Amino acid sequence: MNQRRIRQLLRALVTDRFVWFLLIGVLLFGVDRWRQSDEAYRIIVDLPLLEKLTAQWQGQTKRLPDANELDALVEGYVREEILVREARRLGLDQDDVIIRRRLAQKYEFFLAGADNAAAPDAATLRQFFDANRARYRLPETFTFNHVFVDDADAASAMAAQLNKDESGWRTQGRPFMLKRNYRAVATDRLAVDMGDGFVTALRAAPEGRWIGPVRSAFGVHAVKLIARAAGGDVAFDDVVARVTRDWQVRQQEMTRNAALDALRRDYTVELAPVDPQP
Amino acid sequence: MRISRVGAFALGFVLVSHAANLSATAAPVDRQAFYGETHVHTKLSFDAFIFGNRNGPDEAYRFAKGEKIFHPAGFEMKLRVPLDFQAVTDHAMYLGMVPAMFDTSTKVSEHPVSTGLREAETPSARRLAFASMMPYLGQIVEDDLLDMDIVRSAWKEIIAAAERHNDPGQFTAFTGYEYTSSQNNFENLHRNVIFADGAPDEPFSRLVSMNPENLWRWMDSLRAQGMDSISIPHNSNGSDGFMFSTETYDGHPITQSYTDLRMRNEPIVEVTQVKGTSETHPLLSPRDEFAAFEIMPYQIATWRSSRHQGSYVREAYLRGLALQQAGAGNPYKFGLIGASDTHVGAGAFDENNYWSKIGIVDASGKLRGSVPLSWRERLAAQISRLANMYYMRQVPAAANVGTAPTNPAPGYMHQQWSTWGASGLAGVWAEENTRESIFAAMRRKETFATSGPRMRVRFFSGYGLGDDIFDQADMVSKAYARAVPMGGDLVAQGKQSPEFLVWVTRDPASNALQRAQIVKGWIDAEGNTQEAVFDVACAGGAAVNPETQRCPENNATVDVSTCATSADTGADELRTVWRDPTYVAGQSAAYYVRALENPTCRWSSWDALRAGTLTNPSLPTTIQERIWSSPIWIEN
Repeated sequence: MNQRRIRQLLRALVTDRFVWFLLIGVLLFGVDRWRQSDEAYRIIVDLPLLEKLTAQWQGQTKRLPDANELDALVEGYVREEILVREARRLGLDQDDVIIRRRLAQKYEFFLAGADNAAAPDAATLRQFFDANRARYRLPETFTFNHVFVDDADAASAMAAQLNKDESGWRTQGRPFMLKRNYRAVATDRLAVDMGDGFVTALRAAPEGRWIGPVRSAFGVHAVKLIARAAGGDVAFDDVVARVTRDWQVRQQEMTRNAALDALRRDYTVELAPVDPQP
Repeated sequence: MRISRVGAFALGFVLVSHAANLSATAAPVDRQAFYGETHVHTKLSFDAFIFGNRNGPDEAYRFAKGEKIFHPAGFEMKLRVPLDFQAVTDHAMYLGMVPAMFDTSTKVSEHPVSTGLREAETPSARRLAFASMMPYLGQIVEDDLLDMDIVRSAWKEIIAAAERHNDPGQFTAFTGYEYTSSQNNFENLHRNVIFADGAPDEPFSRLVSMNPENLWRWMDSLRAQGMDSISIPHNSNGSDGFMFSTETYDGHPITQSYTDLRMRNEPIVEVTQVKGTSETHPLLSPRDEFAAFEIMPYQIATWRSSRHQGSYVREAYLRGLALQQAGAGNPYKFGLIGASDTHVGAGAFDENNYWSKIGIVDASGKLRGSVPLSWRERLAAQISRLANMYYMRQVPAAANVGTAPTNPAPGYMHQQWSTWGASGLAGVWAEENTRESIFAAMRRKETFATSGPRMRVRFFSGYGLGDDIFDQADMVSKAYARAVPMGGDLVAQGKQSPEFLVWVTRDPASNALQRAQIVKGWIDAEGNTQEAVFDVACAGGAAVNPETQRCPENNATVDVSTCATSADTGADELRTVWRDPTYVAGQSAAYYVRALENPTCRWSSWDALRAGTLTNPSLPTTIQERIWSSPIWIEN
């Protein structure tokens, strides 16, 4: 290669804007790296930080820190910051299960949104109610009075007597640990209190008069079934408060899930091939 | 009938602050038993999150109301019967643990783990020091003020969930949290703080003070502003003797002012939960053949054994009487409740539907030690045990949580949670299912605890009840008129024993009752504390042997291979009016009821039965489920 060719090439390079672009880029990059490496060893104590430290102190002690205390807070912060940076440099934050979980948890809070303050309109609620009708169905219930007695004979006698005159039914029979009168009690709850057999017996019982013996988990009763309700669908207006509550909870869940789903779309999950076990 | 000072304070407070809210018709005779739970961790608790739990306060309340939710291991969890009330009680957060450990002005920084962390110079030493914190997650430090924005948002979420789910008359949701304090060496002093209504801006955490007396002062100050709360200690069994100490946190003698402070704030104690039952220990009550019940012998989150003296409630009642006699007042005049301490947002109360409580860590029979391991799993378990032993040698002595004792049943996993169980439930006698009514019941200690089943107990003491009171249908109103209910003080009259009305009913879905007992603690003429257990009512109406004070054997059996129980024995209801044959006028004493079911299969036997394997020979195969009333104290 002769000298002229080299000079030509140099001139071409010097005049080429692309080369200048590259050079300036490299220069900027270098300066930035240099600044960055400097930044890594610089801890800035500014007004927002002081305010934050003061607020934390105030939260704990209910008063402002004095000058010495503020010094100590800043010193504490500086030490902590140094340790955190050194720990990061050693990669101690990598694969730390606590830090991972905590980050995930923080982000989840973030996704859920602070409050769902927006009150839903009636049509939205109505729609939600219609879609979840089963959830608001009323249970089968019974309303009844009962008297706990010693045995089956006593129960039939008690029923006969109370059908003639039921005044003072509350003071008849033996003491009973549970309630003597149940009002609109759901059958599943009643079964928990008195046993399944009692519920079955009530299903077959006539309304409005005392019958006996009726057996429960505890013994024998005389019972007067006052009212029954088969349960089933409920009017929207009666449960609007509950629907609102459920809608809000659902909304929060949906916000969170939708946000997570949206993020999920940016990711692909691959199953790495697994070597067969020997 | 005179009421004690503390009682009067509590009662006065209850009347003043709540009378206006109770419905006009509510009277003591209307009180019913409501069941609930005051100890639930959700994903907001950091340890629960690590155990894989993703159920939040909303899920926890939905579960309490009877809906199904999911366990971190994927299976469904659903209650046999919905609860009437619940408090979600999360540990506050703790990301600030590390800064606090480095900040030499905090108490926790004096801990050997913290010193180890500060002194570690090489990366490998740091890794090891960091790793040495792991066993104490959620135990050393609770939250940090450097991250109060997260703490506050979690706290706001907890309050909002309680408000959303509180449904007066149907379901009561309380706001609460766990104050996770301890002595210097992880001696458990944990407490749940439950708010009557409303809640402060942020919880009082362990980082503010490890000393529970400061928590109580903070609660006093809230109360002065009209916000009432109670603090409920739990796992005294793992406190190494510190929960019911005869000294204050700082080692000073207990005084009347300490007693007043404690009793204003801690009317009830959680006596039973998944991590064992803290009623009494066989070494404390050698003459109580039913004392060895669900004993959890370790300090919480360690393999170190926990001293039994000072760790169990029966002995605390005795200590309280002695302190009172010594002029310091009785700081241990508390009632009893049970709770689960679940960390998956869902309590497991039934032996045959048990998921323990720490998520993926104890999700299966194999992990809990109830189902044998395959040889490969055994090998892996051995290796990890050896590795752990080696690793524990490296950590500073006081941070060493110990290594597992020799496995008594090789072939099965041996973990702390092998000693845990399906317990417990809180019962309250309240007029209605509202915050006001249930909180007032807890304040006046008209509460009981069960090991899971929905048994009920009524307990009164007074004069002139009469042996025929059970023949009178208005028995309950008579009892309230003539006697004090559980949790109360009875002022002694005359030389004769007062009458004790004991009435227990079974859970229709659980086993029949075997016996009702009265446990008595007193101070004898020489000034020594004494205890005795009397059977007072036996299944089948059998008479109590006056020599032994025991019911005859009722020969109830369980076939562990099928978990079938004998159907022909046991009572649906046990009741009596009892007089103390050892009563001496002038002696201070405390009495409470304990009633036992016939034996049934324990959760570990159910696990083995489902897996089709033999039961672990080192675990009990059966359990006698039980109920405990709050005591009644005799004052002279």
